[in-house]
Amino acid sequence: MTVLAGALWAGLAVLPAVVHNAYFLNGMILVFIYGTAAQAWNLLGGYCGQLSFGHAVFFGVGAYTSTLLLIHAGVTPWSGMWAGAALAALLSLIVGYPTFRLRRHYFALATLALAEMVRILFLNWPFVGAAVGVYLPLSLMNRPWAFMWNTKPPYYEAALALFGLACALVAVTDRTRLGLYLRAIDQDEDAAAALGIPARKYKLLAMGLSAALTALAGSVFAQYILYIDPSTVLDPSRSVLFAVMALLGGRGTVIGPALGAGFLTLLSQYAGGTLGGLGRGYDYVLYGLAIMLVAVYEPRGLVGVLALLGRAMRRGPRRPVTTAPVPSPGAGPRGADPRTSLLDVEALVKRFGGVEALRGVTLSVRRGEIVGVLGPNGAGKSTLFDCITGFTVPSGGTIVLRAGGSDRVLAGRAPAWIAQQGLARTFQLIRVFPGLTVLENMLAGQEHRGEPLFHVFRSSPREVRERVEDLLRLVGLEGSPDALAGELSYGQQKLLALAMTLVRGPRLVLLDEPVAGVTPAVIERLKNHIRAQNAAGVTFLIIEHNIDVLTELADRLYFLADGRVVTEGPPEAIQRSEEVLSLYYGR
Amino acid sequence: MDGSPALLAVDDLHAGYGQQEVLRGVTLTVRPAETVCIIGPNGAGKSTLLRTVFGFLRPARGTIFFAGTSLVGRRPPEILRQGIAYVPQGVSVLPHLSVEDNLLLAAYIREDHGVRGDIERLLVSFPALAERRRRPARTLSGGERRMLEIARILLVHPRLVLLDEPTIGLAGVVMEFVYEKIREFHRRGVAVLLVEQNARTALRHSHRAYVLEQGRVRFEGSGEEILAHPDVRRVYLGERV
Amino acid sequence: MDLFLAASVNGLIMGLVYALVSLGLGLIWGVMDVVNFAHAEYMMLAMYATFFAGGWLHLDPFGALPLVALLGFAAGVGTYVVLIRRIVGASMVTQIFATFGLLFFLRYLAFAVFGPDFRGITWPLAGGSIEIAGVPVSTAKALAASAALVTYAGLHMFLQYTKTGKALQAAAQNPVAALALGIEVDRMYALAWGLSIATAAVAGNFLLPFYQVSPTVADAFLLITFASVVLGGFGSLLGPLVGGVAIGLIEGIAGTLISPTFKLFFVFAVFLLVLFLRPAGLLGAAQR
Repeated sequence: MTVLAGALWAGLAVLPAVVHNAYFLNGMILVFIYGTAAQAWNLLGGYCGQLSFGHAVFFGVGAYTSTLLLIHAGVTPWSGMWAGAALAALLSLIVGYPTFRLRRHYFALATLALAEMVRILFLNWPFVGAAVGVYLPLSLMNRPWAFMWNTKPPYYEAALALFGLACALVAVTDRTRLGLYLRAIDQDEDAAAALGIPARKYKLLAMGLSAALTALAGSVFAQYILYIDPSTVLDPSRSVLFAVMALLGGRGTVIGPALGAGFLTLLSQYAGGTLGGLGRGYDYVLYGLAIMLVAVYEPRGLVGVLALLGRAMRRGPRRPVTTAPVPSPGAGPRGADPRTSLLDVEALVKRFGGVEALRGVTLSVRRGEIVGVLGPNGAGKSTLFDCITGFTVPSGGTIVLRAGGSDRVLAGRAPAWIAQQGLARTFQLIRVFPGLTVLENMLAGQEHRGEPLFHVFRSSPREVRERVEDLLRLVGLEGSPDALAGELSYGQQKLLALAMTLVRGPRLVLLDEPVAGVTPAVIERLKNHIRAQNAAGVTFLIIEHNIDVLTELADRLYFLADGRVVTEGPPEAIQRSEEVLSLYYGR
Repeated sequence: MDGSPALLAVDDLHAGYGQQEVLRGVTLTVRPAETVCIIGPNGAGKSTLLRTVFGFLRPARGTIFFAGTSLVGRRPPEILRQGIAYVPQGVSVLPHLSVEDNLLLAAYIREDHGVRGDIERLLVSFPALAERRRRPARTLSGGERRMLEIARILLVHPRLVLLDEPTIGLAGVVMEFVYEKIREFHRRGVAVLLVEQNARTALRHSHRAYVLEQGRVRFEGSGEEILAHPDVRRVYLGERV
Repeated sequence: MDLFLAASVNGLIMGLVYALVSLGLGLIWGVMDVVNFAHAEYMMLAMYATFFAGGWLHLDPFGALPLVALLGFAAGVGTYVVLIRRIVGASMVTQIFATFGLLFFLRYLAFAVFGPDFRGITWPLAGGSIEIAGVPVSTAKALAASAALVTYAGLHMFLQYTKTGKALQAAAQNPVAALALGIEVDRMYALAWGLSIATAAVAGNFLLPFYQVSPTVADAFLLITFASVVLGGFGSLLGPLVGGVAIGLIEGIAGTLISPTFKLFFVFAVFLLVLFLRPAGLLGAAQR
């Protein structure tokens, strides 16, 4: 793949020596510049799922910074473009910090509004030429330090180099942990947080890189067309163009935005030439139609269309995912130390509006124990888990994790931070990342604490990969690491969800209804895994309706009803309790 | 089994969500005016069964007949017109509409002019709702919302009512009220198919019951039979016998 | 002070116009949680419809209104059936993508058919100005603002006092419960789209007498309509009304007292502030 890409790139680089058609070269230069911006947009909007409609701002910041530095300070654009990139990255971080709190449509709208504000500002700012814009000093023509030529090939090579850089950056992202984490955040931010992935940090990294890359494209663009004004480099239609190229080509892939940029730019250039005679804007009518068709029929974009064609040509039946049998664990020594507690919850209260879901819950989990939480629907069990893992902020009470000699107060902290303290959880409705492969799901669960930011540009360490392989073998999924998690059976997804919590070797695992809805065979397997992991030192807190399973697994049970702990004790005692029976099964 | 023909006949029903098969061949019948309850552990497919009968899910296999007409492939509004009413699990009142509007919409499928009068008569037997008739339904307590849901059914005169966990999260008094209404359905000749977590109470109020496990019917019988069946007690009620 | 009053009155009038353009956007957003990026494009098409109704059928905007509104309704239902129904359950990215494609398609279709020229009409009836609180306001704008109030009132009455209107609300609040009551949710969604685009058409019809149409006229309204809906908040028709008026006032007052070229800057600054501080909108009924 890398060899192929290198060959393609080399071929493109020598193209101007063969093809001298200026019209064609102009098209290719625009493909490379827009392609760079589309790849930049792809980092944020494709991998991370944050749709920006304001990338023209970064494009404009790059164009204006290098141009103004050249005009006013005589700084060569070869340096000026990096200054523009730095400025754009800084701006993106300032903008990104508050905007990343916004979810769904709001992020897209906020970027749209911010871009408009910047455009209005530039339209009225005399220093940057206001609405008139800025001409590059043509007296510097054909001086390489000024990045200005009156022929196409130098621009072609420069734009190609930049485009190569953009594709390489996206390719590296795609293959390293950064891409994995970004895609996990895109698919389910809460589930990513539950694995300890610090979403905002990685989103900001993606946004900063994206802004810098877009600014570089803007600088080269300014040098190429030699004139900039707000309506060429800051126009909202630019932002839309970058987004559409990436989306139409296939967001979250390396070749998608490149395809999209090539397709749209060349279509526009040549269709504009042939259709342009008939009327105005037919090419954009076709864009619109293509975009709608892709949205409805193939949301993966052109890449998806190509994949479908490829699959149709190969026509091989897809192998069903099978689960290998699991050896049952030997009866190892339990690592239980009944005296030291690991998690202490005291007088926990949670109110939703006027409704009290938890009315003073006190419970403790000791190191090495398996503790069950039982109770009728609506008793507050899942709310209890959400409080402990940071998905909801308690209204009162304390939650303390006693880990490694130091106590950590969990109440009110963010889910990712809590997860990094050694807590792992599953959700009642399975939340694996459906669009990631089994292996990727597992790797998303690796340790996230204390890692320098730029380590995400590396692949997962060998010991993590080995542990993941071991765990996959354990749950019997080692035969299908490349299957998409969304295509696994329900029971296999449950097994995967459990295995994902174990990758980083957590101290305490909270399982929300681990065996609900699965076949007896899978229940047996899940029970064996929990026992085996417990023997290896992992403490469990389990919500479960299936009393048989809890009775077999748990050392102690808490019975919750109506937001309170009704009783607590060994399973046999709980089962005999008249109070419990009447609450649970009716009078 | 007496010889009366089935009002609802479900045979070998398979259904699920995407890859996940929830119902794996369910067969059951409900006769006219009969109260039948379905119990079983979480994830057994109880709610899915009701959703499939009411047309929210299309069965992968199997048949559903209501009064001799096949329901497979019909959509919920058509099934309601056939004479089946359904109260989904959780809150199904329309939160931002008034109590009165909730009742008016309950009679959405009725074309006659007696709706207003029926609502007035109905409110007499639901004084708590009458008091709050102009308030948005979101301001009702949990029990009042359940009353509203039951009251809504009465306006469409169904022959079969599907209730998904009608007493979940309710205090004893309201629970009694719900079962009183279920008895009333029986007296009026309306059949009820209800799903319950609260098995003992539900079994006491039902003529017959089915125990669902892993998407299949494990046992069926009268309420007493089920309560006395040792396997049921062990598997579902969690008792050691 | 007089300047302030004049700015406020004119801002209020424009605010009502914005509210009318935003109404349908907010309706669809609230009912289906779909953001229609192409909403203002339909307003643009309606402006052309009114223009040609004048040229070919010799109808003034009052005469053209029923025709234009009806066309809008049909276009809305058609859009739902052909495009939106296929993406109701899809991801947000897909939904944004699809309505953005629709925006491109409609805008450049207009470009291809009508060309880039600006076109306007003269409407003798609305040529003058009237006084509101002592401030002169163009009659055409006052008529558009009145149309906004009448449309709001009409839609409000429909939703609150008719069985079908209540059924539409039911479909928005709880589709499963609505289906269980026998309400054809799919048909309600189609109705919502019809109404949504019909109100955009009414807006276009009354905008034309004082605002020239060109294929890109919607650009000036796109972000303002989003801001109106988000600013006002969801859950009731009052949201876009309050949001639109708020934006008109900010624009009018900031434009007069600070600088006309920066008026939209302030509008979007307030929009962002609300987005960050109170995502549920000014009315604050956080319903989703």
